Amino acid sequence: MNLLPQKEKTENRREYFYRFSAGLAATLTSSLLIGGGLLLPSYFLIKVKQSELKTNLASLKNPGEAAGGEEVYKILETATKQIDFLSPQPALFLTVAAEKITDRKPAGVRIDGLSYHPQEPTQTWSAAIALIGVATSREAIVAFVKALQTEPTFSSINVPVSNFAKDRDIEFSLTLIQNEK
Amino acid sequence: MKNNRPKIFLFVLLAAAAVAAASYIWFWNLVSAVNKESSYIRGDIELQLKRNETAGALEKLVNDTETERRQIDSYFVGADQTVDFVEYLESLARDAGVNFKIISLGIEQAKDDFKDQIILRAEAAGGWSSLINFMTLLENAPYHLVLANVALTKPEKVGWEAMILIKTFQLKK
Repeated sequence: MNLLPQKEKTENRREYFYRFSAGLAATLTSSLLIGGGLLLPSYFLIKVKQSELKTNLASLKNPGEAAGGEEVYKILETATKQIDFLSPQPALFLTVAAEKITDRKPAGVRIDGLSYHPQEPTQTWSAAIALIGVATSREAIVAFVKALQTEPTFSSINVPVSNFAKDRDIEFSLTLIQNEK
Repeated sequence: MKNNRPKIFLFVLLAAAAVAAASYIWFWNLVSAVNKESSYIRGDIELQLKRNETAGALEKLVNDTETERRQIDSYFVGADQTVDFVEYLESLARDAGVNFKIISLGIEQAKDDFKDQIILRAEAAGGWSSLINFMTLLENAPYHLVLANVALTKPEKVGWEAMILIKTFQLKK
């Protein structure tokens, strides 16, 4: 049974609270100080490692090597562009076309001119060939055109109707387009 | 007399605890920041190592393909070899037995960054076979050479004449 007066009881409780709280605060403070102290070695270790890593990174980022790397990229890029540029299949060669045309020229047809004009490539080159000449008769022109139509090198042959206006010594013109397939 | 010592002691300790807590949080953040920075540097090192590895592989590729690249370059007229190219065409004409005359020679800037275009207009005269031989030599020249326009005509006199537009490509300096 507590016989102390009420005022002293209250005073004692307050003092107990103060002491208890002071104990807690002291424990907390000391815990934080110990924790901080224990973190210190880790901090120094990390700082040392970080310094080493920075040195390593600096040595890896050698500016001379970087410049060389750019040069290498440029060389390869240029080579790729050159290959892309050279890759499209060339147009039908003029000499091949001329040979195929002269091989199929029947008697009675004389060629007086041949022009060759390859078109700029989209994916592949193609060529247009224009012929002018003189034929002894309409039949000779028809035979020549028919012979050229059997040649798979040409996809189309344009024969102007005016070629057939005269019946002898006809000055004719033909346009042949290369078959791209 | 009222004893204030426990109260003062408590306040002092509470203040100390607050300072300790603040210091601990600050220090913890400092350690975290340093740790995070280290991990970023480690990531940078790994990235740099990969970059260096790729650069090494590309350098090896460049060295390994040197012959092929020289071969590709040889299809273009060298930056300062225009005269050599023209003389080469003239030698082909001589070999084929045709009279070859250059009418104009120009260089056009191409859009890309590695080549310019040489445009050469010329006329050639000779027999049909000689001209066709000359064309064959041009078509098989060791350059990327385009016969952009050729007109073979037979004038009144004997023989054939050819108007030739040649396009070829020159490496930029």
